Amino acid sequence: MELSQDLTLRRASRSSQIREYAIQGALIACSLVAIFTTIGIVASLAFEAIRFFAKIPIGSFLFGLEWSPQTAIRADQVGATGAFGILPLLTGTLLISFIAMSVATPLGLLSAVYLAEFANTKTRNIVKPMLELLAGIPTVVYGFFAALVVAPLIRGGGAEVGLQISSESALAAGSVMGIMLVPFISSLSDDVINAVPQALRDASYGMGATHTETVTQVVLPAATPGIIGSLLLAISRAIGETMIVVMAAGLAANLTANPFEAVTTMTVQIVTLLTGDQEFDSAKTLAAFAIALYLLVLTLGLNIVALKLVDKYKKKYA
Amino acid sequence: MPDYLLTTSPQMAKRHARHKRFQWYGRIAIGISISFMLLMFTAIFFRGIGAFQKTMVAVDVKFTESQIDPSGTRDEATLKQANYKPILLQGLQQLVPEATDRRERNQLYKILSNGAAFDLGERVANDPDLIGTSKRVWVAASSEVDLYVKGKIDPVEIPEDLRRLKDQDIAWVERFRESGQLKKKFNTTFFTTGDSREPEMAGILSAALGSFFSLLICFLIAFPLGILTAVYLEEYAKKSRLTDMIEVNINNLAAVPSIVFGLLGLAIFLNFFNLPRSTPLVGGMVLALMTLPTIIIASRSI
Repeated sequence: MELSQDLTLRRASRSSQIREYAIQGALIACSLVAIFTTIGIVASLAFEAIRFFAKIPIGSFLFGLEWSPQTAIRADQVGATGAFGILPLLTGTLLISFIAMSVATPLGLLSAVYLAEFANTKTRNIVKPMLELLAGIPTVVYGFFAALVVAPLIRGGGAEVGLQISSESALAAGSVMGIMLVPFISSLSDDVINAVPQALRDASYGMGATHTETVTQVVLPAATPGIIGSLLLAISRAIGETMIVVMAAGLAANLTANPFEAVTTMTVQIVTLLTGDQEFDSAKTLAAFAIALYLLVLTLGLNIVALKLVDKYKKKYA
Repeated sequence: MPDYLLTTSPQMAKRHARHKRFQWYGRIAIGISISFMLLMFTAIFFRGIGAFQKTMVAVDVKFTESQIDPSGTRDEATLKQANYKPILLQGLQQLVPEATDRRERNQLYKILSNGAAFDLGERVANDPDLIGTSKRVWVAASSEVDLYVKGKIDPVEIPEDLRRLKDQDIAWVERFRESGQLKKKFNTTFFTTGDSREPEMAGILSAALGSFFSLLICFLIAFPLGILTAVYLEEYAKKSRLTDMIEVNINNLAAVPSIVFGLLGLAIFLNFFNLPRSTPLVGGMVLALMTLPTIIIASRSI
């Protein structure tokens, strides 16, 4: 009878082995899509950026103080050569990100500490999903809110005290973006704080410290690398955020640190450079790719540092 | 026992007060975030709610054959493209007989949406038997009238020369309202049409369909790819440099700004592969590449 065969010693048949290899091969191919996407991003951005730098010297792009992208239609036109200096865009992006982080850091960290250390299970089960709901709102909704509600409010408030505030002020876009970032910071910091070993807390209580003293003097210092990692991830998100700034920030490049003035960001400029009818080999269109490459290097750099920090931290207490 | 260890000592009271305060900071932070979210929802709700209603005007229309289809062919294109303006105007003049000269008639017609005539054409084309009868039809009012009826234009606050809706128009609108021929109704157009230059004729159907098809393509690509990658990384992959590279790569890809993915789509799908522009296919493919890392990370960790 076939059933009495000794199954344990049988080698896998050739066909099932082939099938196993085929499945593994297909799975590997799926995982490689992610790698090819990265290669595709870097290659396409680099390729178009090189074409851009053939027209505009790389030095004047990286260190230029003026941004007015236009290409001449006729050769003898006034202002025929546009200025492609990325610094005003960079400062605008950083200003808005800075405002966003000044809103998001205290709110996110305090929420995370409260949820991880003080809240009872019932509160936690209600509040945590609500904060995560903030992360699920499409950013275009935030942008709409920033442009139509927050910006007029800030301008009106400024007019009350005699301040001239632009209706596309960095403050409006930045503060709304800050609220958007709260759940990113709070949920990552929450994980990080929970990963601090109980033994450290117990030792602190044993020394007679109150709960708050334990949190501020033992838990938070122990969690610092992880928290910094989560803040860096939030910054990288702020820099790459598009819809909020497209709707609520300005279009004109403005080299300023005044939060009441309108500034523009790298993402806004990419959008404005590419919307509308453009020939594909003009410096104006290619500039979008150069900005995107800059953006990618910036956010990727921040990410790699952040992920390293979080990873190292998790290994320390694992 | 030294004084500072007593729970009643001033030092201890201070330390406990600090504890209480610190907890309140946390509560306030959460409160700010959540109340901001609620504020945002209410603001959007109250700004958006008006779009679900629109002002309609009842016009008694005489569908005269000589106006609509003089040759009697009952051809669909003829019925749709016939000039319905005089017919609608006649109906309006039943309530405003004094508007007789050309300028006044044009002004009166502006109470109605520019889409009203097309709307009438559609109705006649769908039901040619209407020709030769008289009927009361509800057609859309113009967006100016709509704003006025919804209370967004205050005729007292804004001087007449700054409004597009003049005092004369408002008087006419009020006359229609008094006779029950002007009402706010549920805005079905909003759900059944695409975008339009006339606000009162605009709808979200085409945009919603675009989103639906893009998401469908995105789902069909990203879901199987993401799950299979997660299965491979969790169940099959041995620790090797390739696996490490894939993992680091996925984590980094998850944080690449979405606009960069858009440029990837532009450079590769549109310019290199010459796929058609503005189609859900390309949009869905780019969205799939963008959501892939998130799907992989999420399905691995659960």
